[in-house]
Amino acid sequence: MTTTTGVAPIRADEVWELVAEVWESLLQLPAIRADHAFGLQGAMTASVTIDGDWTGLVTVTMPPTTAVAVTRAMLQIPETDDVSDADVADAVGEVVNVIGGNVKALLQGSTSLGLPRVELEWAPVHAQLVCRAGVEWPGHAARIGVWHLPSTATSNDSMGEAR
Amino acid sequence: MRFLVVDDSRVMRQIVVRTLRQAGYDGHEVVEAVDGADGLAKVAEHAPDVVLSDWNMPNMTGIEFLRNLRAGGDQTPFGFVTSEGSDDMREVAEAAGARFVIVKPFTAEVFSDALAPVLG
Repeated sequence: MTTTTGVAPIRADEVWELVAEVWESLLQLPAIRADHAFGLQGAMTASVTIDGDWTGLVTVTMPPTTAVAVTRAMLQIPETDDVSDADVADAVGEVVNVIGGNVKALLQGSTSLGLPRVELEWAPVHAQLVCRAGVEWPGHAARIGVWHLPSTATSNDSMGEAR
Repeated sequence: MRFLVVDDSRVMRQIVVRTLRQAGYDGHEVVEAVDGADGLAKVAEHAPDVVLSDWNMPNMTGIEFLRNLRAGGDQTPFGFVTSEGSDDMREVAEAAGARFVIVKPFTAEVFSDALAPVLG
């Protein structure tokens, strides 16, 4: 599904291109586009805000087991070794940071990127969906969303309310 | 040769170090720093041959780090490794004295191309 706003005509196809590149070069995992929904129960959410001429946020949502798989891929940690919560938060935060930086580059005008924030549980986004793209690879799936926020609503409290 | 890798993400520092190895810079010394302020201290302490720094970091950003270095007379070759690669940002980086801007996600080839002219 592709929805756009007048202020940020970012298309799901553009987001998907970024996501595929991140998966293939940063995670070194094969990436298949899969825009079907998956259960959000227990999923974790990482987000990064964009402020300036356009305000909003970029989110990555995935189940905890997938977040661990992403961390293993990024740090090349074998299945036999444990992965710490700190490494998971760092790795997933960096994924959203890189995608957020590339989304920012698609925007017109002057904007700045916030620092990544990682919620260890599902954090519904209280904002208008611009577009989203899903990615799937063997055994795992994740969803990337771009959201628009009115400029006055961009703050650390922008997430956490039910939508 | 000595590299200074500056990023608030440990995961990203590790990926940068791995990519340096894949780009042919294997067996060299790598020093890490967690933000610009730590980077400034590590430059003074270790005198690296090149600095690879993130842009967006808490405490002191990458561009503040670079400007502080140059304001203090330090001319260590400096490049950014950042998720933000807009033309505006490249201009700001070059004006401050950066030799290259590598945009995440990156490949080993991109590292080779950026570092070869700097390191000879």
